Amino acid sequence: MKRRNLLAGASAFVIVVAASGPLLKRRFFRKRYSPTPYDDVLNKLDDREWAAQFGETALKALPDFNPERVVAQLRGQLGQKSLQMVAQYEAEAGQLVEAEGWLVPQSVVLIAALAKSVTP
Amino acid sequence: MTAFLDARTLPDNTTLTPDLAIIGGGPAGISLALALKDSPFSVALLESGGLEFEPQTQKLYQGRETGVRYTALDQNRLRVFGGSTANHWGGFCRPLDTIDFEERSWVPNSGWPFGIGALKPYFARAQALVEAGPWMYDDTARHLNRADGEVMKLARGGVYTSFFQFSKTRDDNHPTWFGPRYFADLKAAPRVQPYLHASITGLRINRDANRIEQLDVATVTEMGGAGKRFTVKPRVIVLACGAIENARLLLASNDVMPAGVGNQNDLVGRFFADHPIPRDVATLVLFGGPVSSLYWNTNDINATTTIGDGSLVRAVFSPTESFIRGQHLMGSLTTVENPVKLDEVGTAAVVTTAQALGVDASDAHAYLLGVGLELLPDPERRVTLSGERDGLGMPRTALNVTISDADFLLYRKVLRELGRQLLASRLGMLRLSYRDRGGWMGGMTKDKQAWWGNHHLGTTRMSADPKKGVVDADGRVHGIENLFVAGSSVFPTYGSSNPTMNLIALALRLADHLKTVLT
Repeated sequence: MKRRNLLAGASAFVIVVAASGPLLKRRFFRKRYSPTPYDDVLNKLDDREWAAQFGETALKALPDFNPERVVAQLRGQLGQKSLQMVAQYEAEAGQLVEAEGWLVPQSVVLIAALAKSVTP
Repeated sequence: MTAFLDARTLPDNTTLTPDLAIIGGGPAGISLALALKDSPFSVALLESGGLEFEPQTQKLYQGRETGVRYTALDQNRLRVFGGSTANHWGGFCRPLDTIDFEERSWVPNSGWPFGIGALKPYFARAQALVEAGPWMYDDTARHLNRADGEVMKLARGGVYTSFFQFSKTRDDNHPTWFGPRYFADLKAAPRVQPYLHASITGLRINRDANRIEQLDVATVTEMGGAGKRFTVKPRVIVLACGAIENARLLLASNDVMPAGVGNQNDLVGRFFADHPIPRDVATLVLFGGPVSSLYWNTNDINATTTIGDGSLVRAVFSPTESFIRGQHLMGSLTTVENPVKLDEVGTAAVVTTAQALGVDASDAHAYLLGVGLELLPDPERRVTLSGERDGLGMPRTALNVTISDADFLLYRKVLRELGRQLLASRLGMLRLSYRDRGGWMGGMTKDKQAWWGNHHLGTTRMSADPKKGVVDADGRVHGIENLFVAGSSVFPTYGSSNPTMNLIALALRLADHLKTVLT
């Protein structure tokens, strides 16, 4: 094998590994949580711990918070869409909630509150 | 050439008879005198102060404040040649917006008797007098190069990046102090005679109450009492001593008109206005790194960005005209102030929101925001006379200051829109600091200071209708044929722009009118 081909092959391998890094990381190094009935929704979060921490504040903005109702609402909103897609849409449409002054897309506030509600 | 005359050296009972007397040697009075210096008319420029600050003269400004906490009346302006440009001016310049001149259905008592087009011919000269560099303002972005920093690419919406330019004395970053800066120009003007230490104590009107016949003038002794007294009998008079003193002089001159000169409709002193500048109104978080230097400033004019051929500029957030119309808002300019460290809740809010939007916030930076607000016109925010008297026997000022809850609530809509645009552009997010009046008033009194722009406006408001304004579209006091007012006291509404450059443009317009009046 020519040296040039060897180098090209090695470079391609490095590029593939680098590009798939975030996916691998997500698949193999994702934090594990105890199962909850809301995991299909909560798995849309990158980091449930940060969300739960914000969720405490989010809950204050949702005085009638009911996890079953919220998860149903989020399932309806999210469906097969990513949280990013929904949050982006809500930002553009002005569907925002103020949680202790923090102006946040509605679905983000709801999912953060949900994360808090299942965090021991 | 005319030397500056110290009124304390005039013989007692002197009578001066210039064509025009300008009362007040601040930016309005000086600009007016400079605009008339080549005219054939003799001009007396009467300034109460000297070339330098003098405590005994400054004490004439003492007064009483009621209502919302406000800056002390002897601290929020300067009685010295050059007026409050001396060292009370931050040098902020920005033209009024077109909408500021309009009568708006959602703003009671709004509207000028003319549009911005009447001032536009004078802006270039006003800009030159304040030495703010080439006229750029909202066109500034076109003059930027990469090293100047970038304008934030906010998502489409009701808030946009606007620009201040800054007054800048040559070879210095400090704003133009009109006294020393134009001293030589006035000295070289053969028909302009500046008088220092000449305090007006009364406007003497004729029995028919339609013409000022004489000005009573006094000097102040070192002990703060009355020294020499003399009179001025000009053909025409311009009051140019600031919105508080203009009203005070008119109200105190009540020997013929019991309510005061020009006050036949009980409007003199009413509608006082200023820009409240509450601090820490919101926290701005940018996900991707520090804010562009165009925005960031610590209120130190030396930290303001310099672009082009040396113009100092600062980017701010302004509501668009269509957003103001659609939401029925007042003017506001939101400024990026100091960097701030987020607490745990803030960090969690930022991380969660950024992740949800698919943005990396590992280099997020946070800043506190400030604002300058235009207030809804309020006739009860007003200058009246107190029962006390100053060293010259003049009634002292009483100032009642108000801010309505609506003033804060209207601005809150602007912050929410800015927050929405930041999220929609995935640039960052906002935390609004205040929900209720108590919170806003806390922002108005941070660090035990009263946070106001000290831009005194509105007490002799302009209207074509004598029942709605003290002066007409030419600045002439309704019903008084030879008395005019210059300065921001004639602004009926005032937007969010700082007044100095605008009031100078208006003074230059008045100068053109006076040339025809005096001929």
